Amino acid sequence: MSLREKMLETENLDVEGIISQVEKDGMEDLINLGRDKDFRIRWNCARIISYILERDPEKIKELKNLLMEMLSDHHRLVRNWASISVLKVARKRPELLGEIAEPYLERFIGGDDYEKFDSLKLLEYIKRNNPKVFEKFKDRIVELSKDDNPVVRYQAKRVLEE
Amino acid sequence: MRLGVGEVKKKPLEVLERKLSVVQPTNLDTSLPRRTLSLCPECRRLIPAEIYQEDEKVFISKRCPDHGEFRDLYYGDLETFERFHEFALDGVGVENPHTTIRNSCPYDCGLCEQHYSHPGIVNIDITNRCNLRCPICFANANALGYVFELDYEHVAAMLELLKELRPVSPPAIQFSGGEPTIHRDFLKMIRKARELGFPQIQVATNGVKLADFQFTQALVDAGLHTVYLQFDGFKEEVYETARGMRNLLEVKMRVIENCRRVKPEPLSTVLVPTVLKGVNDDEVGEIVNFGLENLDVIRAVNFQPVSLSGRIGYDERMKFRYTIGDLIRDLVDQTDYLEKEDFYPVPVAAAISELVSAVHGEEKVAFTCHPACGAATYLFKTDDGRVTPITRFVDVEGLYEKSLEISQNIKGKRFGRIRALVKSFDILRYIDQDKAPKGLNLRGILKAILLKATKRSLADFHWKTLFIGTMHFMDLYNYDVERVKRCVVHYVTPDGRLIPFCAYNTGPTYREEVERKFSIPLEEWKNVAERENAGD
Repeated sequence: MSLREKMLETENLDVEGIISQVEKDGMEDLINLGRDKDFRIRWNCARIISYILERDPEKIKELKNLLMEMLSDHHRLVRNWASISVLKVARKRPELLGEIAEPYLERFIGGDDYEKFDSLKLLEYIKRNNPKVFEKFKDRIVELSKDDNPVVRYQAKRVLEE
Repeated sequence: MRLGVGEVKKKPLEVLERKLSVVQPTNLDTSLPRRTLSLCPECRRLIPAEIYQEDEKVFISKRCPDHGEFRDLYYGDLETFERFHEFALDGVGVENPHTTIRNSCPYDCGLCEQHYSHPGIVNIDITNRCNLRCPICFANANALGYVFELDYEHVAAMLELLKELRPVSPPAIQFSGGEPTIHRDFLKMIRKARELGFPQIQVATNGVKLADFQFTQALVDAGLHTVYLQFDGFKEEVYETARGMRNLLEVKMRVIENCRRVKPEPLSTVLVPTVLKGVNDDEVGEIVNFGLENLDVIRAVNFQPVSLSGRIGYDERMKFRYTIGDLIRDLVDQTDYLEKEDFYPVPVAAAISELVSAVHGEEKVAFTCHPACGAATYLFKTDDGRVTPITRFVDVEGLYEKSLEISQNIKGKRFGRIRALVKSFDILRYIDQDKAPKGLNLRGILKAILLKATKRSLADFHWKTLFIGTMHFMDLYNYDVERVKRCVVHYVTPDGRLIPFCAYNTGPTYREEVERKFSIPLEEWKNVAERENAGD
């Protein structure tokens, strides 16, 4: 079964098998599939990437460009999983995010409530490591601490307090 | 304008234009065969499907261009299916959706503007840890290798989100998991929910922790209203197979006894059997009888036909597939007091909600789920042991139609509250008090519901009855997007979304997404837990 065919098995996605294959053959195929026209393939690529980056955040160097594209994907599930991947790296190794953090925040902080939440979560992780980005978004965080959604408010206050 | 001495400010609600509505005529195609949208069980892509009748049953079939044909039993009894669709009503959705429509249902949860219902009961998963290892569990806690566990402050914010939902804040919340009772701040969370004024706070539990009486009493003291107890019947081997633990039945019995003993009054308990064909479908009648024998503590039995997961062939699926139609037939066969016609679909109750909303000028929760999602009836037991279903003395269809008709008459007109109330009492004539069980003043109770519209007035009703309900949560084989759009059972997520049950646990499976976002690897969690226990 090709990697693409495996990526069509959403319900029974063989996460470990796919990761082993990627480790053996390199990232290129995965990156290409991440740009496939079929959203199911992109969705499952994003799912796999979240596992890869949780285990080895350093891999973001190779996946950065793809992740940036995925964060703007027209399909919500692809974007959601790309966001999870970024947050996994941010939690463990915020310094590796480099130039991703700012465009991520620009795309997500004005989005739906849960995307605002994700932005605030990212800010919580990178606050100490990347004070420049934090300062740039500080006014927005203050605004979000008065958002209509109590969960967004909670996370904004948490970022401001820490 | 300032009021002068002696002037009385007019109460604006005394005479108001009653426009409020919590239901609307359904736009669901209720005919057979009909088209709908479903998902491919292999790749979860949205695909067209057909729902059709065959051999007095209802089936669903669909074709994925990549994974081929799929067919499954949708509803095991055509007659009940068709009767239930006569009561279909849609809700009015939420006024403050949390997501915009970018793709399509069920990929935009939620809730988005496409959703027809407002949440009636909301689950809050507070942990995926569990003290059992059930092979049939959705959450599959420990096997996943990560821990999803929310802290108290985060849960408090999620509860506040529910309070701010419009037009109706969900009256019922249910802590779930994993096993929610093992969360160290669980009691604190119940207290917070109580402080925020949720009328119905419940916990979905395997009961292991509640076998300890002190803990059960602590739950009551914290403000818990109801225990939603996994209860798969009376065969030990079923528990061993389904739940992976011996002597679990004994544990359940101890829990029920503890719920009976707590002060100041018994803790309302709902038995929740997951039913699999060929495993425990022969016990459904006995479970209801058990509920009736323990009416002082057991308030309801809520059957959940199993939702199948994993790659299973048609023949294998049919070995276990069990639907609401099958359940109703088995309950009729296994008891001597129930008939098929005693059961009604959930939206029947929404007609009463509509009436109460119109009378009181305030939106009340309306359970406007899809007619195939659930079914219910009430049973009354008198001292002589006789069991009477509600349908023997209530003309449910008349009550349903009259409630909608009166609501329609009240709405859009300038009615005083008293006049509206008097008009609403017209529905009382659909109760035949002479045929009602002795001692049950259902007219009085319904009058109180119309007058006060509070949980207390409803409680008078519930404590004298056994509610028999069922909800058939979907799996990928019988998935129908029209059901998702009308769902009234949701999850609130830690990132501020509300997601229909069958989109959270199946379909797009937001559960995986949410848990991945907020989880940490199991090993890391163990290290943190060890440090905290050591007082670091």
